[in-house]
Amino acid sequence: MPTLNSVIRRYTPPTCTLEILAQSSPLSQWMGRTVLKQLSFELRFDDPRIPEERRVPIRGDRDQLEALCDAVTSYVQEILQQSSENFWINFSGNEDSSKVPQDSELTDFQQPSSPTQTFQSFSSLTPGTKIHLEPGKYLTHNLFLGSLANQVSGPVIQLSLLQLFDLATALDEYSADVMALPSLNKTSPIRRLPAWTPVAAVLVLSVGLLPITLQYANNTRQKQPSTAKKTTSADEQVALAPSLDFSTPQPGLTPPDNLSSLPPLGSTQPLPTDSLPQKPLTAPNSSLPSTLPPVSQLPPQDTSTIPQGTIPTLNSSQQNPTSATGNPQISIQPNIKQNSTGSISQNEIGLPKKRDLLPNLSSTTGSLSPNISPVPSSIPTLPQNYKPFDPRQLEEKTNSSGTVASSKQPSSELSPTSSTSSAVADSDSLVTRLRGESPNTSSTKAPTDSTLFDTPQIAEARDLLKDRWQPPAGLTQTLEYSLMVGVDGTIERIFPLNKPAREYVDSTGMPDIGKPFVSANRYGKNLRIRVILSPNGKVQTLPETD
Amino acid sequence: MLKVMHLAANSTTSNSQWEDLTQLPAPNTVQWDNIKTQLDLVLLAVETLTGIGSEAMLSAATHLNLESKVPDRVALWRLRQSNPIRKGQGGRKKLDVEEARSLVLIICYLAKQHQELIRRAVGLLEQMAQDNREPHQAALLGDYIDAFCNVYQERMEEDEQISTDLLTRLALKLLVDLLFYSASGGHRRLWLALIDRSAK
Repeated sequence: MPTLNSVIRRYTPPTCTLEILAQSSPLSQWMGRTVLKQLSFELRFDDPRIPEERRVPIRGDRDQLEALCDAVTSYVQEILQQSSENFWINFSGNEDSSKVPQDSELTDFQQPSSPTQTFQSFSSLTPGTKIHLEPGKYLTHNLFLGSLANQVSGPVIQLSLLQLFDLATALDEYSADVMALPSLNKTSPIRRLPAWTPVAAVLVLSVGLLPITLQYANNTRQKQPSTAKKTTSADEQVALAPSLDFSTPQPGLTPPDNLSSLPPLGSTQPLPTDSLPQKPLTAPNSSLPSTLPPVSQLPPQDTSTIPQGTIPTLNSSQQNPTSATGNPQISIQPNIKQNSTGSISQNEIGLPKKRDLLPNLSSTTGSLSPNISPVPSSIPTLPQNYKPFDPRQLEEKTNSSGTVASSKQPSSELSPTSSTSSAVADSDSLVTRLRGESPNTSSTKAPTDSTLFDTPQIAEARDLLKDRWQPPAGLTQTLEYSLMVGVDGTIERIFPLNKPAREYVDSTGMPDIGKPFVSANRYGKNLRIRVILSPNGKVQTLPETD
Repeated sequence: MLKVMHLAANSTTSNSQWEDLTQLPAPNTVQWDNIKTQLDLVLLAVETLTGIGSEAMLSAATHLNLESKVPDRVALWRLRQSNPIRKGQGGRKKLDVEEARSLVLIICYLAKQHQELIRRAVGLLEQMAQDNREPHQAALLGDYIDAFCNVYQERMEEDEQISTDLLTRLALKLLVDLLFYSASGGHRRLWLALIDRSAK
């Protein structure tokens, strides 16, 4: 699956071709229609009367396309509303003195032998002209290109009635097809998304990331060296999580109050200081590092974000009914995950700005009052999560962030001054404090019996197996199975996933193939359940995603 | 208005087209006569250009699930008879909003069905205008203009009689309109044109 979809729509009425180029947004799946961002278009008029070299495409961005849409639609409507008398007054070729100069100019355009004239009037007409249409001679219509004009097209294109009709049709179809996102780095007020879409997007993203985090936690717990590779990939994906934090505060996308759906991420994200890896950071999470790949393989940020940034997410989303009931198998998730990389790359562009802001903060820490207004703008997630702290802690926080910036850019003239050495200690203590504040550190959060992914079926499977699972004497390893459960809830297949699982398959208490196991799936889907039976009697059931 | 057009331009089924129209403003009573006239004239243009009769209109109504509004020829005739400039006193003179919407959908359905022909006629018209020739010198246009004028004079009141020249212009304007009504969003264009025109 491509990470970035370069969607091309092409509308081809007989006399023109309209092509839409854009990236598909992950929101598309939620809106039920294509949502595009960074949209551009190309319009060609296929008119045999115009010499080949002048049939150049008109190119523009989304705003220009919208303007063109509006201009054409309203012009067509004007024509339709005219009485036949007025209509013919406009188009009869021998009247209307006010239009004569324009008309003669236009006929010049139609003559390929006068390129100099074309360019002259191009320069004289372009400034200030907005996209609009006017009736021309002999049933033609003059499309004033305004900002869309280029040297070859000239400022005006003469359209026949049929061309106008085809253009209107193409634009109509485009309007019906495409809902365009305002591009992220613009402050354009045009918004066509309902207000709930950012919330939905955030929810989808968080739900989408859950399987990864659970898989990671699970792998960690299993301590299986063979899964180390898997863990690494999970880590890479987990590293996406921080991007949530950066992308949501975008003014165009998310109202600030929606941020509350993400607090745990935000609470840790501003921290990923480069100085952390030098610290014995992993000490509090002694259960984790055993399966972590060598730190050197990971970007420094990951070590700090994995334990805190991801696992708390589980908990925060757990309180959310939507994600709790969401079927983790819905096919949307992988897409969201993938597509989110697109937004990251965009957001990364914005990162240096944030970094630039931080030294400012550290330089003013001395005068920071409890009411620190600049902080929210630079670190958007700070205010919510740090309310319980006193100003001093904020100060420490900004200090430590300042250290990040300076350590990343040693040549920066904004030297960290005296805070460098103390900031390291500060950040460490802050980390410790944060960790203490969050009840969901990895050690306590490692997969418990019931998980966020619990669908009724998963829970039923767990309950049933808990009743039946009697660890045979002498069993030292966990048994792991992958069960295929049919729509009606019967077991369809049992895959033992390790050797002891094969040997002990008969003593697990699992029903035979074809026997009812759990209730029917309410989404009408087959289900795959991972079952992990421990020698100590513990039973885990998890949904498997492909 | 433009936004509304954009929003619903994608409708393809007759049901959603109907909903489109119900979301647009309805005309007020004062201008109602204009709308009745206009609908009848557009239908007249379709008839005389394509040569279709009431059968095709009724089958269009069936296809659009509008049988309840336009069940048979008499009903259709009565709807068209609501046009105030029509001859004859026996017809029904009322047309409600739903009936007007039905006629709009039927017109656009027929226009779409005959889009090729309409396109050809408009293309010819442009060609004739460019060459500075009389439109009726092109056979297709000439036949259309003749038929339109004949039927118009046959059906409309004597005191509404207008010159052939004016009638020709009216016929050709309606031809151009039909082209735009033949697009997928045509029903909205027609409805909005009716409303706006009648409001003037």
